[in-house]
Amino acid sequence: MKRIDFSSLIGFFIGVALSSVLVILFKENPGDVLKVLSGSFLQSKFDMGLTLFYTTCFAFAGLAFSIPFKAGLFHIGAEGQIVLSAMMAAVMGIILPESLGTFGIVLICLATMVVGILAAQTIAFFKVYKQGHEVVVAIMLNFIFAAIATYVILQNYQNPESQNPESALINPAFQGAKADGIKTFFEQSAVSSFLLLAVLSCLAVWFFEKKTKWGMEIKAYGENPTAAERMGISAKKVNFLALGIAGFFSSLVGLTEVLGSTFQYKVGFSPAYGFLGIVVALLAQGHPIGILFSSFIMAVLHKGASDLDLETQFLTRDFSKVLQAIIIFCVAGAVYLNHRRVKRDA
Amino acid sequence: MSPEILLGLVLATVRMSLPILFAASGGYFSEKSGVAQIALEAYLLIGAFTAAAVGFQTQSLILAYVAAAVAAAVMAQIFNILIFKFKANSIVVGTGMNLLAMGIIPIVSKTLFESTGSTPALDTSEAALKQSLIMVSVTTVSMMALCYWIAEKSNWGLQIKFAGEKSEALTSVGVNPIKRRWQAVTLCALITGVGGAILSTYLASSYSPLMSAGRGFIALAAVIFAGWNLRKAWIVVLFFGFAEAIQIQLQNMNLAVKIPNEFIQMLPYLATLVALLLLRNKQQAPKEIS
Amino acid sequence: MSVSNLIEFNNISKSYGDCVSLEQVHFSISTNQIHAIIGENGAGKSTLMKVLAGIVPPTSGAMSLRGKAYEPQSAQDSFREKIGFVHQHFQLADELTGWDHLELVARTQNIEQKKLVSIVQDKQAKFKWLLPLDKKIKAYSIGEQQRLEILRVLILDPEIIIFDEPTAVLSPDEIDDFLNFILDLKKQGHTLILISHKLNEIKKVADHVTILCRGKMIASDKGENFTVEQMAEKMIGRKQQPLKQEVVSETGKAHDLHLLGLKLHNNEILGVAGVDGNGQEDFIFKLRQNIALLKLKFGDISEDRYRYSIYPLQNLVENFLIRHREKFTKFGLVSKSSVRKEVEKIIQEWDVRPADSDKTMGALSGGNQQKFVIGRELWHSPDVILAAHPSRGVDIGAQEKIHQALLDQKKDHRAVVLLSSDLDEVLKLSDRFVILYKGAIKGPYVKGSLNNSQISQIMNGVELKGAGL
Repeated sequence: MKRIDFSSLIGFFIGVALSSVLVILFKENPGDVLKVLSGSFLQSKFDMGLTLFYTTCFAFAGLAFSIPFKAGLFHIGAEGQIVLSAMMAAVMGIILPESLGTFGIVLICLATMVVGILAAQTIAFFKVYKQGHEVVVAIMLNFIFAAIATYVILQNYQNPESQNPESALINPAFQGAKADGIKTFFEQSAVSSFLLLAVLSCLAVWFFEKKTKWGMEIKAYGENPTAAERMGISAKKVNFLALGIAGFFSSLVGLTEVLGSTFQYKVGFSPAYGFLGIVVALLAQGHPIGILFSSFIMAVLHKGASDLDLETQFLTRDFSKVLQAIIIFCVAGAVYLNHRRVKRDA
Repeated sequence: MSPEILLGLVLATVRMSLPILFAASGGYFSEKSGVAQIALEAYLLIGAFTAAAVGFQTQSLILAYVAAAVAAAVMAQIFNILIFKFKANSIVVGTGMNLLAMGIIPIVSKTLFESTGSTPALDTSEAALKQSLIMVSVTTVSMMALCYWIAEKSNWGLQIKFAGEKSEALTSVGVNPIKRRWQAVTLCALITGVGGAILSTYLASSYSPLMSAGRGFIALAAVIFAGWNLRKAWIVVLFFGFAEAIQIQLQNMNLAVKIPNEFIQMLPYLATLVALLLLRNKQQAPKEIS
Repeated sequence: MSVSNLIEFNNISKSYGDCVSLEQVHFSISTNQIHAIIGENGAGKSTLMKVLAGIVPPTSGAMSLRGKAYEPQSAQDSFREKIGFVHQHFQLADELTGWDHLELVARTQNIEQKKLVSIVQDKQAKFKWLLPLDKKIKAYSIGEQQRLEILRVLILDPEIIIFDEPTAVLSPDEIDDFLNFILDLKKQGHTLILISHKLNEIKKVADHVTILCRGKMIASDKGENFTVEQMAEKMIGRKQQPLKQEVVSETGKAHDLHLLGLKLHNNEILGVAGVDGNGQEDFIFKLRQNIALLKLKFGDISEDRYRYSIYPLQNLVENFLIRHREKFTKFGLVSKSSVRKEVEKIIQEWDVRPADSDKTMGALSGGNQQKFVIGRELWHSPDVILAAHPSRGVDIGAQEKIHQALLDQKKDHRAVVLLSSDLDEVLKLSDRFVILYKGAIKGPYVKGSLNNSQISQIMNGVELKGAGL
């Protein structure tokens, strides 16, 4: 068993500490800020539930980044895929006939997954056939998909009962999650059984990477694509497979939001899940089981930061972005310092 | 189309293009030297906010521009330290930069001005507007001339090209490629910061939240679309600016067929993808970009 | 030390962490001398020259130049002292032009545009070169690229010029041209330092030879005082071992490589000679295609192990498993346990050091990596083996083992295709050989049927009637 590398976790805590010191500039007490950040999720079952909801979304987003990363791809397209698949889920939830019942929910899920997978594989297409750099293509697609989603929802499915930019609610027949055991336990907060799915997903990805041939091939290709191709591992297969799986997980975020939480599409619902997935994966250093833990930690922080808006004078909701940025920087630094230390000792 | 409308369109195109022009010029130097640059958005925002805040406090446009450039450049040093000293990935740190800018500005704004919305408005009298126009024109023209000279005629510019294509060539003549890249990123932030200043002091009269609206990414798209060539990037920027100007024009004209806002906004990104689709790998990214 | 010493190395040592590159190297180079520094891969030749050129500082020891202490802090210092360095691996950017490269150098020494142009014209005329300086490097041939590298150095008018493995990518005729060029430069008053392991060439032109072995200076004497065999012996530290060859009976089985227009017999080594850049890539690709079409088992000792054969971050077990994954996969799942046994066998048989299957591939030396790769590629008893540049970057000890292993394949009725830019290697081992010239396959020729001059001509495109038949 390899020694677990805790450097990213250390970096994380340094980042949190640094951020709380930063608040002195804004006339706040670091101790108070830390208390709010770390205690928010424990205040009630509802708060815990909300935190677990964030955990679910962060975990899927983390997986969406880490799998292509093993294949040598820098996948920042999750955000666009999340938004597009959420749109699909909402639209289908509105237009499908009520009579389909549970089967309708299944259909919604399938359609959304297909959308997510295909959206992600668009990046693979450009990479494989047009030598387009995946970061550039992903950035472009993020904007394009966001525009499409906003247009489709606002032009055709705007909620007549609200001034907010959001879709109508999906058909009550598909709002089964309301009766969900987990949701009920956590006092009807945003969390749902999708949480279990997130846990299962992390386990499944771990198994995939360690024990399956495809997992091995993705890893080999990621490390040395020319050697892998020479040994018969097709670049096409690896790119489309890795991104397809990523797109699948992106779509799960969309489903978690629409089918598991709000039962509608709210413009701007995503607090940059796609990008934060990168941080989650970084914290876990790409390890699928680690992602479970790092997504929870990030969720705790995210929940805490939203409380800061109410509890402090100057620290708005935006502080969570500052927090995330500083954490990114500190984790990057800590990981590097640790690698240097390991190299020196080796 | 009447000549007035045409003239209006041309002027609007130029106006709309200005911040992106600066961001693209800045982005060019960073990318050309081998450093992928997705933090242009952050530099624009920081520049815009700093210019608006300093401009309000000092009533001096020159100070506002300088402060904007400096603030962006200082912020870029965080990026540089992490990329070069800690060997972090530039996309990851770039994402952090954007988050940092988006997060810290409202908080600073609330502390200074009691508002997370717009900063207090700047002087919009006739005289002030005229001064602003002169400032912008002079800055833009000198920026373009300077950037062209640096990129194509100077020693430094040639070394930047080698830093992005084959850094060993620099090492063998005793020049440190890391030093050049560091400088390129700093220059990028300086230029882009000024673009941000123009955004908040000329195109508007204050800073409003997230007013860069993705322009940093459009600028990056322009550089890529143009094959990492400075002058071509400027032309591409004008083209994107034209699209934005047309959109406003069309809205005012109340045409029968209304092109949705979202599709106009999508245009720069769609265009870049289409370019990637059609142009067969002719323009290569700098070999050493990371 | 005598007065005509231009450069003195006084007990130069260089270590990179635990790794000792140079140990107390002590000798001198005289003015207007062609001084060869020879040694096998990893002996420290390049490192010593990097110290001289100011690119890396020595860990201990001192140098003197023209009688004065010389401690360069950077490459720029060496330029100022009139030392030029033509690197083995060209430092040319594909997307930039010849002029860009020359200007880069010129401007660091404040040479004006006009002066640069006249210097360039002068040099090109002197050596009768016609380099297309307006074109991007990607349009240059290998010979032109080398000339541009040399030109880059010459525009600063160095007194001392270091050449690192200059003939590695040249054909025999180009090599002759180059050696004459070196003699020419000497006549013009320059002092030349040649780093090489090509002993025959060194014997032809070197006034003085210094031999390095594993970082230590073994000998330094006038060129005429060494024979080639003596140089080789001192270079590797022992006498070279002769290869054992068994005569293999005819078996009659031949593989028809129709994409290449050749037949390959399963009891021979077919050599593929030719200067790099004459279609080797294409040949290898078509060979692999043929093998796949014929559904033969294939052993792939690739031409560039870093690009095609190894995963430096993964351990030996994983490097083996990924190559032979189909044999260890059931229902999409892989089992690592049975793999380890096989890997241990390979480590033992090929004397791979360190003998640890959990070691990452990147931690092994070039020679050990290559030995492991060959063990892996022979493991499944392939019908056809491609050995492309098998001894590149490998020390003589490993090279001997590799050559012997290739010869041994014949008795197991396996066909070997040996592709190498090292003509000696090809001629030594092959039963038959072909020569690649601009993508065309000349031959096959039976061993011994052509003399060196004829081979040279064919390598340069001359059509020889009735040769080799």
